[in-house]
Amino acid sequence: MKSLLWKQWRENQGYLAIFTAWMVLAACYCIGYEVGYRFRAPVGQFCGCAWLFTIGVAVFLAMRTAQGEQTAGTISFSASLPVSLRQIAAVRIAGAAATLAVPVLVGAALLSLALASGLVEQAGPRGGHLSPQLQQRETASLLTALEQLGSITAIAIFGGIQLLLVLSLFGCWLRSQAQVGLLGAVMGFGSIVAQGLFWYGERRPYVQLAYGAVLPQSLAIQWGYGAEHGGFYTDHELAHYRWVALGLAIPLLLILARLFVTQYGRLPRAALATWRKRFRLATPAIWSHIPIRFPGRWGALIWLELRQSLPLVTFGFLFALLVAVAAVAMEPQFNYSTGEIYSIGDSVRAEMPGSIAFVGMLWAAVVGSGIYSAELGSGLGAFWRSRPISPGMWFWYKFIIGLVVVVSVLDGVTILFSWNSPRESMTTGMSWAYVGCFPLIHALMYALAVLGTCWLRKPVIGGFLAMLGYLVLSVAITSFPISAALEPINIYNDLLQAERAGQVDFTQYGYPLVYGILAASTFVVAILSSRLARPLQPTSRWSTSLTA
Amino acid sequence: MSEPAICVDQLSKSFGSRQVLHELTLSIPAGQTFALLGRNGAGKTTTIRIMLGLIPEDSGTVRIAGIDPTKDPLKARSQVGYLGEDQTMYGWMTALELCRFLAPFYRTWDMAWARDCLARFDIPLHTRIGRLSKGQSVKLGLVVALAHRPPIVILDDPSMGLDPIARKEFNRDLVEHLQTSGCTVLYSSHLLDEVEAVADTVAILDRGRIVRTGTTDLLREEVKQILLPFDSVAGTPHPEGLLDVRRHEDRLVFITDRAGSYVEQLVAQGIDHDVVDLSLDEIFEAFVIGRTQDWPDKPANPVATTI
Repeated sequence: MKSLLWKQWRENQGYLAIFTAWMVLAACYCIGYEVGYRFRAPVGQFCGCAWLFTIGVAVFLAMRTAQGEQTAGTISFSASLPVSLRQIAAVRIAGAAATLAVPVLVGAALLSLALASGLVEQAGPRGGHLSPQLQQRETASLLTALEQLGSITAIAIFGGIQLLLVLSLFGCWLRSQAQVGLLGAVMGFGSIVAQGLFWYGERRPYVQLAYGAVLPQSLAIQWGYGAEHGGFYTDHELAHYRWVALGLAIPLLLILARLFVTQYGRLPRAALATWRKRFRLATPAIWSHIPIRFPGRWGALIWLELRQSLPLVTFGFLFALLVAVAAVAMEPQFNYSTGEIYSIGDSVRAEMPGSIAFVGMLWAAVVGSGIYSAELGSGLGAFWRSRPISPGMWFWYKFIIGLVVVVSVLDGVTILFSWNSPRESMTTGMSWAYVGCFPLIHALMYALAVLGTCWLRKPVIGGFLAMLGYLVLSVAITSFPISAALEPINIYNDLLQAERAGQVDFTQYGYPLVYGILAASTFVVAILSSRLARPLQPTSRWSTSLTA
Repeated sequence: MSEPAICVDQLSKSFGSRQVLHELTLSIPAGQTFALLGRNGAGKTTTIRIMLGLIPEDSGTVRIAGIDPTKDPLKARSQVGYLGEDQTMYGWMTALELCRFLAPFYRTWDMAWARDCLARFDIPLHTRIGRLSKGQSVKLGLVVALAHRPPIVILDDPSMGLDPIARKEFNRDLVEHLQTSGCTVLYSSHLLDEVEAVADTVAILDRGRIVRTGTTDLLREEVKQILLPFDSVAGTPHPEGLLDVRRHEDRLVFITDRAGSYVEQLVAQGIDHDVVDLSLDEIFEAFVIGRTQDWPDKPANPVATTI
């Protein structure tokens, strides 16, 4: 057992260091932001950082925990050791859970010190949907602030570990790390939607208790606000019986861990039973029976890229539609002037722009990573290597068609679908501001994911880095009062507000500058990617060690 | 005399401080099936990658059907049908879709012939590639490598990962094709038995150097194992082409190249000896792992050893 623990430690120590640095930086950001703006909301800010961290890290660790040994081809070796595979699985999952939890605790400890020293303050807890705004609430006592922070930390850790366990469990049935990553992206985003289920209208403490025991992340919610004197702050709210719910969540987490350990122990047998073939859907090959003759290699390449990217993007659109339906189920759309509830169709159409705007950021990265990853690998790479096609032609056809499909399916279809939808609030209905902003943001996310994938040759990490890169950029811009208004989403909000007031003017709020830079960046990132994607040269040694 | 289909002259390549190819020279006449034999890491794949214009050479020249692949890689690749060991194809396509997809990439693509090959190799047209067996996938790879009727075919350990029966089946289909096509084939492998069945000429590559080239018959004729009584070694000359030597009981057992002339010398000196024919496998072994340092400079008392 000591050897297993040592091996796990050696495998995880690098990640533990990186993740701890991440949370230390996040805590420093929360403290620095609070020192700069004095909103008295560092715990809410930390809640957002911890939530993002736990989702991202849970997905990453689940990929390694469930599929790491299979990808590395060491599962047979492990199975041959005089120790049960269940014990190995238990050590792997415990190591992953610790790697997730320790950085959050370190970040929380730093923030506790800042609170205890009086460097930052926290406003009193928010109490229900009729609670006064954060700025009207008294400053909380140190004990209350620390309890709030402790709750947030425990909820983030429990939520993250639950996602890690569920993904690791399902990951045992999947075929690759990339599939676990894709499932993780969907589940992570889905958990954000599911988390808000009982946070609208009158609070129901006992329902939240039961729901929180099943989904610990739902025990806290964040509300983002823009302040009159500039800047943005994140208020947070906690479920009344949160500690009881967390206590009840422990047996559930243990059951999940037990299920994972059992299933992991069956992996070698499952591999021998050629389970891959048994579970593969045998969809009919309709296109094969249609005698298509391509006019040239450009026609063949367009056909190939459409066949690859269109289904992937369509899944994203359907996922966004599902999110919109869930949002409508949680909070029906009202006509504020008549007080009537809109029909389901109208409500969904009104929710779609908000849903696709953010699902689209995730999904553009998924598509960018997905369509490049396989062909940069050794198998399909060798297929393309021997063909009389230039690397440039191969790259640019793929890039442009993928981009067109992302923008036209995610944004184009949504614009058509929601154009005449009700526009009752800032977050519902289609707008010119959306048309001018989100397709460019989605294009950048797509290009960043392509860059990450071409660079590291690992789709999930490439896509994750794309999102992280955008997030870091966004955080950097909003950290300074002088540049906060130039954050792309803030510009969109300003444009939308002006539009709802009857003024559509894309020369205002720094739009030409910021979105011009965004468009130019997409192009520059694409050029950089085309250089890194030179097919099929061996992966550089340092990037291999980074992703091994 | 016509220009060789593949011509490599003084080719050298290093990756960092590791030199992979050392002034490699080979020439493959049109219509010949040429086997490049070597252990893993001998430099076979690097040679092929340079031939396809995927990586540049450090020095030397390469010509594929008269084309310099470094200067015009796309033109060189259009002349080559390539099947690699690790090549996979789009699992969601069917065999027929793959052929249709690849057709516009080659001016000379012969769809009727491709369909004929698919039928001959028993590859279902409308089954997704991901659901084909490993043997069927490799054969499909061969079909798409040949369907544009390339003058040159390069096979880089194509049957790696196949079981022995599937390998034999693949080679049978390959031989069948080669008998009718007349194209030049460079077959890189470390599996001797499969090469023996198809190759006209063999080159043995060891640590980036060609150590022997010749037809399979010539190699079998010139490389022999010779057994001498140990006490008669003192009067015998050191074989020029010595590849491997060991002592077995009271005899010296060695393998030598150019065995014919050496045996003539033994006969002329009246030295008692036995000559044993070798398989291509044993010849290859002698070239790449043979030890020559044990040749006795002075006769000694025989010591019984086991082989």
